[in-house]
Amino acid sequence: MSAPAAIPEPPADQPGADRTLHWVIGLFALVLVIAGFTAVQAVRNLQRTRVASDWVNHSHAVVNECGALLAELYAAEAALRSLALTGHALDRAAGHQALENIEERGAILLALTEAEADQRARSARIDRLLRQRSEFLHAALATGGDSAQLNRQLAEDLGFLATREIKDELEKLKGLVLARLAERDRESFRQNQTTRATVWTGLGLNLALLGGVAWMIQGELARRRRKAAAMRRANETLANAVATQTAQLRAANERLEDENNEHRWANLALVHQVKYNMAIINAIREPVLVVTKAMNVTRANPATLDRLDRIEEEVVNQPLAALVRLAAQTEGQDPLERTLHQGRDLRLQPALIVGRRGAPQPCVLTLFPLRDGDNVVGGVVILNADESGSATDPDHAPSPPRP
Amino acid sequence: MTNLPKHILIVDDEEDIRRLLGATLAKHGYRVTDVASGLEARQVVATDRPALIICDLQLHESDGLVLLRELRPVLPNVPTILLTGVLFDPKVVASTLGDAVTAYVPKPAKLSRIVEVTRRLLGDAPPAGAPAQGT
Repeated sequence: MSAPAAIPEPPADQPGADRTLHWVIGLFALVLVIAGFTAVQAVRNLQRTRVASDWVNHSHAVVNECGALLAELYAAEAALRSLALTGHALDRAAGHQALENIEERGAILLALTEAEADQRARSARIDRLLRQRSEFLHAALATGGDSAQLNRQLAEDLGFLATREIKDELEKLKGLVLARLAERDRESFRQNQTTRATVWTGLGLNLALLGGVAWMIQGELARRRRKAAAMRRANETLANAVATQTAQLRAANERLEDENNEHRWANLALVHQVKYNMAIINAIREPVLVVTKAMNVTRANPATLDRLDRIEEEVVNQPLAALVRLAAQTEGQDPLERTLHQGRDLRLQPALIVGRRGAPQPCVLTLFPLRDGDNVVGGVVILNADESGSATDPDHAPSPPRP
Repeated sequence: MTNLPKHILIVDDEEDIRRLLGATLAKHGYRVTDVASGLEARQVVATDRPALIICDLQLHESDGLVLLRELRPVLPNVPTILLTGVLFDPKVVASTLGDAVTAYVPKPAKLSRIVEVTRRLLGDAPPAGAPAQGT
């Protein structure tokens, strides 16, 4: 039987698969972190933009209020001078209206600049100057139609200085607001630039990471395809090896079965042969014994047992001398044993059968050596009836004459 | 063209011999009928003509030689194998029983020897890879 085909080992599960999976998970986590960071930055920038927009509107409101205050102040001054020239009530009303507007817008300006300390201080100073000027203007407008008195007050008034100071303060306040506005514009620009850079960098990083993940997944898929192909080849080889070994086992089994049948056949033939040989011996009516070279009985046919009046267990393995002995007593070695050792026949010798009971019965003994090749291994003893008939056992018929 | 297995008739009064020999021949692709007596053998021959007869010498009611001589007129061209372990020297058989049997195989012979003789008498080629055996 040929040696069994070696069964190949299946491809070992490589640790690279787990490592790739860990890398992919880690890169996806990094992508998520970057995307989250970028989103947070974008949201914060949006919030800052909204706040900046509110602040810009607020700043422009302050600038507008400054302009409006100055315009109302000019309007009040103009109405007072017109009243001095015309004395008309409409000019007085216009002056009062302008002063009310100044008061209102001054309050608005204070409210708008409340949050900024420097602006608040500047507004408070403007408010104080406006109040001072408004008191003068109120007083001048209250003189009624006396143009002479009003002209005197105007001549004594240094209002142009007060107006110029208020104008200067308003310009300073506007300058403060616009400077802060410009500063915040620059800051907003920088924030926008930073956010833009952050978003683009995050996007680029994420794209690079996703590309890396795709590359790793593609590599892993290729590795799995190679592994699957290797597994398929290993399975095919394994199937072939199993088929080969199965065929070898089947052939060996058939050979074993054939050998077993041959053994059974040989045993049957042997049993048949032995049975037939025994049948031949058993068919002989004359007593026949088979003895060893040491003259011990190994076999006796039924005629012998009948003649000796013994069962087989009392005969087999007994010394022949205990069952049959020659009539002529001799000294020294048993003549039967000596004859066997010499390999000769001993024919028609008077002998006595030692029965179970009664006197010994005469018979005629013939001994043939039993040969195995050139060696004598035992002998065959045939007991014929004594032809004289004087001591023949009356229960047994005489043996038929030998051919 | 059909390739039916050839029919072999085994006649032996020992059941173990019949079964073992029949199983061996069946394994080699033959269809086997085994019977224990000459009477059964004649019934089989009448209904299912065998391609070869393997017969034991000693039968209960007769002997194999008589049976084969009786069947020879019915099956003139059917080869016969005499199978026994008790009689004849093969040389004596060849010279004296050639008219009654085609071949003589002593029972101590191996089963493979019987299969080989059967194949030879039926004109069947030995199986591929089988070792060459002398007759």
